[in-house]
Amino acid sequence: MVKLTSSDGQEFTISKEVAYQSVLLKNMIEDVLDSEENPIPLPNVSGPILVKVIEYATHHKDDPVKPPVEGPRTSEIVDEWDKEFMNIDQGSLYELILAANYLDIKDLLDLGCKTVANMIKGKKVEELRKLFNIQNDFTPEEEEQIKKENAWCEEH
Amino acid sequence: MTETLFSLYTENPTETTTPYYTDTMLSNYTSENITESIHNNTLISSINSMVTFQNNLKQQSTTGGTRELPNEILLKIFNNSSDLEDILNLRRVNKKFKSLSEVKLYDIIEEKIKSLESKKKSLERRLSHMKNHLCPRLSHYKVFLNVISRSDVSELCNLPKPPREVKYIFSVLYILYTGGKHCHCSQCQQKKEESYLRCTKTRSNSICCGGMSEKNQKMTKGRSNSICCGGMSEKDQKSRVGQRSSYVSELSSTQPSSSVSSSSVTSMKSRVRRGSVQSDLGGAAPTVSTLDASAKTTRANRSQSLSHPISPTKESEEEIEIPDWEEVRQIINKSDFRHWVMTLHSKLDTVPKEHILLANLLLNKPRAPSNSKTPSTTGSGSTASQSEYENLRLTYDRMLIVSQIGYKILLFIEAIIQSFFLTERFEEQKNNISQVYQQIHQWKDLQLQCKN
Repeated sequence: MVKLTSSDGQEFTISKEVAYQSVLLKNMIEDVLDSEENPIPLPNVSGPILVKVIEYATHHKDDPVKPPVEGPRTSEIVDEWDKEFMNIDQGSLYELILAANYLDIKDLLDLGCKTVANMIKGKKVEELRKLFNIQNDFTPEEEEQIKKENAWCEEH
Repeated sequence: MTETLFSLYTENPTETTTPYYTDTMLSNYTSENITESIHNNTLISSINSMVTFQNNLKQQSTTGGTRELPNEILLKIFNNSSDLEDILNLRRVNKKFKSLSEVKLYDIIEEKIKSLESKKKSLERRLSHMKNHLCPRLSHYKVFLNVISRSDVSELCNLPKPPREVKYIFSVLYILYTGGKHCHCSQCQQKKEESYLRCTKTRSNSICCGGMSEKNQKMTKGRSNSICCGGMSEKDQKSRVGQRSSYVSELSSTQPSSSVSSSSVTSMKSRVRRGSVQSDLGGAAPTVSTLDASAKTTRANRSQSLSHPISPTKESEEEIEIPDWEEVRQIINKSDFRHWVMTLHSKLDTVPKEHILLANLLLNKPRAPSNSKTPSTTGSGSTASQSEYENLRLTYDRMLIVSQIGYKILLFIEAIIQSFFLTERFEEQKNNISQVYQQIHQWKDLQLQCKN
């Protein structure tokens, strides 16, 4: 078993099998720590997010290794459980993506990115700015130029 | 103090808690504390820290408490967007998003260029294949452009009572020459304008002269008719008509101008009869005819089996009306017209595209009885023309029986139309290639911009 401590001091005990879903934890367990005695501190992951990560890793612990995707990537999420799992608020989704990135859980990171890509789909520019909390920093001339280029791209 | 601020900052307080934190912290400062701080020169730094903290809180509240995703993750997200429209919208969000989305856009453009390159290659292959097949076929049709002699035309024009098949064929030729009343090509429009101006001028002149005699009026009418309906000079034709293709003239110049041999006519006829004059140009090219060898099938049926690239609409098919024979007779009796017919083989590209399409429509116009199909025409003259040609069987065999010269003219018209469709296909293909070529260049420019 492996003990993990979240940034807010919560302690979690998980099986090695589940922990090995994370490349970071796997390396830490194998190389450095005797984690059964000393909990692994995860200062970048909060308790609630770590719960989600553990939930995901537990669900997918028996999944076979996926072959690398060939050709253009799509944002389609096939697994219904994954879809339901990702049905969380935007703030938590970003936190989960960051945690997956930090813990190096590729599948979870991909799932998070696909979810955000689906959120982008069909959104207008203003909606995208709202979604990412971004201010427009283009000059009117620059904006006009990009509009023209985009119009040409859409035509062809 | 710093520790408190740090822990508060990392707790990600929400907007509603902001006043509580700041008020509590400010209330902790008693007047003694402030005085002491002033003495120790620490008050300003404390205030600065608090202002910074408040600013951070403000920033947090405006961003909805969500953390900003790093570029590498944004790149991953954009990479999952396969829709070009989404990527283009991301380009417009802000400068950072533009740069990041262009990484994906670069890949999309790369794919586009690849597909365009392969499309170009296939089009080029088709064009060269077309060229190989087009030349002999165009040469074949060119032969039939020389079947008519001046004496044939004169003889036919001077027939006191030509059979209705011949009259119909001449009407088609008339449409080729003038475009008819319903042609909207630039040449005809200009002619109409000129005619209108001349009419106005003549009328104003006649008003000045104190009225016009009946004879004069008739003359003016006749003149205006002739101006409206045709009689274009060679110069006008060359200047106004877009050069559809130099391909035709190039080929025609290489053709012998001697009259066609009987074997050639038989060759075309037999090909037409078999319905074998089909294009090898990718299946969408025109076919000359699907005339039945037994000559039972009428030319009207042919229109159904035609698969011309420039397919006329049903409306225009209904619009085309058979010109009045008297009008046609007036034109064909003119030496201008005869000269035009005789020299047409060498200047086929000067005939407006619209005229050829209209002639083709007229040639394929259904000539069913008027009670089965309501004519769209309004003029009584044209209705009379329609009824005159009811149930007209315009087959090669029928024409051969009715009139040898009429038969030759039918071949002549068919050759013009088929040459036109062949060259149009060729030109279309060439244009397609140049368009693809241009697109590739423009995409490459944009790709370079994305790279930079």
